[in-house]
Amino acid sequence: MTHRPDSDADATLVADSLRQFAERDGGLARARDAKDNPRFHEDATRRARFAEAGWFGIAVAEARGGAGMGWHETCALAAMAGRYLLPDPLIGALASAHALSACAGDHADRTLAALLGGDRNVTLLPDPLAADAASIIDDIADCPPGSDLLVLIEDRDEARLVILGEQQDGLRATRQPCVDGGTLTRLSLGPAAWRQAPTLANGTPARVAFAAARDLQWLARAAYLNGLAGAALDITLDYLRLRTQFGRALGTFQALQHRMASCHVDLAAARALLTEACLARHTDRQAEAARAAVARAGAGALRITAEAIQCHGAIGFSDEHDIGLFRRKAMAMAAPGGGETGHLLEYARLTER
Amino acid sequence: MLRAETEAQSRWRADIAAWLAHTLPDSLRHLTFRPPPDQAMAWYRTLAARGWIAPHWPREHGGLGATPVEQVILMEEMARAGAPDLPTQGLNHIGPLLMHRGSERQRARHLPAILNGDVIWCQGYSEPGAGSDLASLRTKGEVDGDTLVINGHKIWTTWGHHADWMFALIRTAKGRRRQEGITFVLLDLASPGITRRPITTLAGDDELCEVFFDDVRVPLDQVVGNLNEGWSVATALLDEERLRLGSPALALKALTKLRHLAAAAKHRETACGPLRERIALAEVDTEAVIAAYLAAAEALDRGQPADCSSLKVLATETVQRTLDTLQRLAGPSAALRDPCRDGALTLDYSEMFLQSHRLSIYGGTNEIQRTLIARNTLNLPTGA
Repeated sequence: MTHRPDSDADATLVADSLRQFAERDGGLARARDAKDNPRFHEDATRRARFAEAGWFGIAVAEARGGAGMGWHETCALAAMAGRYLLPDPLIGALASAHALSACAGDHADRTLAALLGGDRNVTLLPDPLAADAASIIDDIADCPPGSDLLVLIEDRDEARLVILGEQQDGLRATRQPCVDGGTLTRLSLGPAAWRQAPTLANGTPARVAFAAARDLQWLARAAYLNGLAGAALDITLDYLRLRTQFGRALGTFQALQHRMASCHVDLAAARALLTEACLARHTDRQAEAARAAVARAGAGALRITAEAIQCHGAIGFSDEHDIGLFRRKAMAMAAPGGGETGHLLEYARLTER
Repeated sequence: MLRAETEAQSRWRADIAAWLAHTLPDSLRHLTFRPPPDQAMAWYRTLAARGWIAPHWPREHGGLGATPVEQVILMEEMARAGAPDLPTQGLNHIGPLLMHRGSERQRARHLPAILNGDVIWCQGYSEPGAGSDLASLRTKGEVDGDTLVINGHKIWTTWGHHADWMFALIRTAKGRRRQEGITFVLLDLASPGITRRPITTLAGDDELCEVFFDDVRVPLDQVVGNLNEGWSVATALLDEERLRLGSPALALKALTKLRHLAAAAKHRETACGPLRERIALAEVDTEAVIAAYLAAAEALDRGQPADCSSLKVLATETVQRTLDTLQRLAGPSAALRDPCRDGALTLDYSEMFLQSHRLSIYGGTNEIQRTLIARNTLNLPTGA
């Protein structure tokens, strides 16, 4: 698959397109809707607008109907989504599109077309399953009602990339609410569900398609987390400039200045690490680089949003203030993969090979 | 480094590794402290002869003109092989300053001697009453004909007792602002009237010293820039200097020490428990320092501003965090004073850990850096 070289100009363009959408769409108000309205994610019209903008196919080659952009640009898009706390399942979808575009065959083509056209959400399970006999798949992120799930089965020496559809026989989805209004999905599967699940790719092509999409998904998640942490920091800095106590702006107090400086250093490191992790694409460090980036981004977003609330004082603890939305989203976005601990242990496993 | 290497970069890495394998003496590997001057300078000259002593210097001044990525590769291989720390005041501070602000004569006289390792430099900035508040310095210089007569006291001078020359800030006039009336001078430490007294550090080495000046006469042609305008000379390359302080070299060195400890049989079991996560964190943190270093160095190379205060904080605190993990991994051995060898491994339990306290103090404390970040980068208001 050929891609254009990474380009800062393209990254700015795609990020701006999302910024304009989010501003017209009501900004952070949508994140609040998603938190408070459990039926938010059943609105398919939003998906159509994302499809129209071409975001699901951002990392898909132009010949396969995508925008043919690199991982750097994809992360710029995800970071802007993070700034606006976009509640939609963008990251799982763009990674799934990447995986589907690497598969040949009618079923992959049709699924990719449905995803890029906004007719269907597809998400990617980031950990392979050991066999196709699993009766439960738990803690699936980015998987609102009606989604399909891409799963890699690593059964002895065989590998298969299969797709599970929620409408299939023998498959039942239950969802538990998360702090941000999203859900973690549990699939209960009977043997029939596995029998009916179409195989999109086998062997090495399946593994290659899966690995690239999985790593892109972690990188885009890291970008989203960096984006939301950056916005939380900016909102907090604005507050410290305006809010006065003891007759002076809060931002003049060195104790608070230094806490903000620490957040800035933390975020700068996470952003730099993500940039380098994108440059590890196609190397033997691609997988561990993605884990490193998302470990650092998640931990940083959790630290920064905690500081953001503290620096707001009591108003930060009220549901009314938007800063709490960032805290909740950081928790929800950092948790998949086991959070910092999970990512670091996987990093250790990968580097100890 | 996570980023994909070009073929040329991979060859450069292999060349360095191979060269170090047969050139770096065992006795100099995996030391915490700088070796004694004779051994340190022998290694310095070996690197100089290979052309690798000044990777970041431009070619026109005899450096390697290496890109940031090439510099990181060199640092990574040096850390892996356990190459020793060398004196850096010439290479990282006065050398680049003279390139920008020195006279033709000063450059011709001093730059080659820095590159060859013929002259060791030290920095005379801090004084007993002027640490973070450097502009309050009081070491005095009075013009007498064509010389400057210096009286006063410098302290925390790294390798001052081993150095041949010092670059110093001297109060030569009373200005309206405290930054005015300061002169930047180069002085030969063999001059009469200089007394040096080594300072034993918390880590147990005598890396630092204090320097006393009694009527020390310095020719005026050893002033860099103009008389009374030394502050602008000293601060001309602050970004580049902080970039060096924020280089990943020490984070890589700390990580190498952690890896050695984790690989030693005695500690392998603890490394498999919850500490495995912390070791991975140290690895990831070090990659983050490399990434931030590349971002800053490449920005400066393009002539763009770089966030060097943030880099200094990040790099130094990462070293400290990595060594904190090392201490946890060490178990009861954490209390041991001296490093020991275990086959090819060097187990340094406490030396670098104690030494690393200096990192968040020197070169502008991390508190000063955070204040600068808050004001200059985050645009937070200054106090009343």
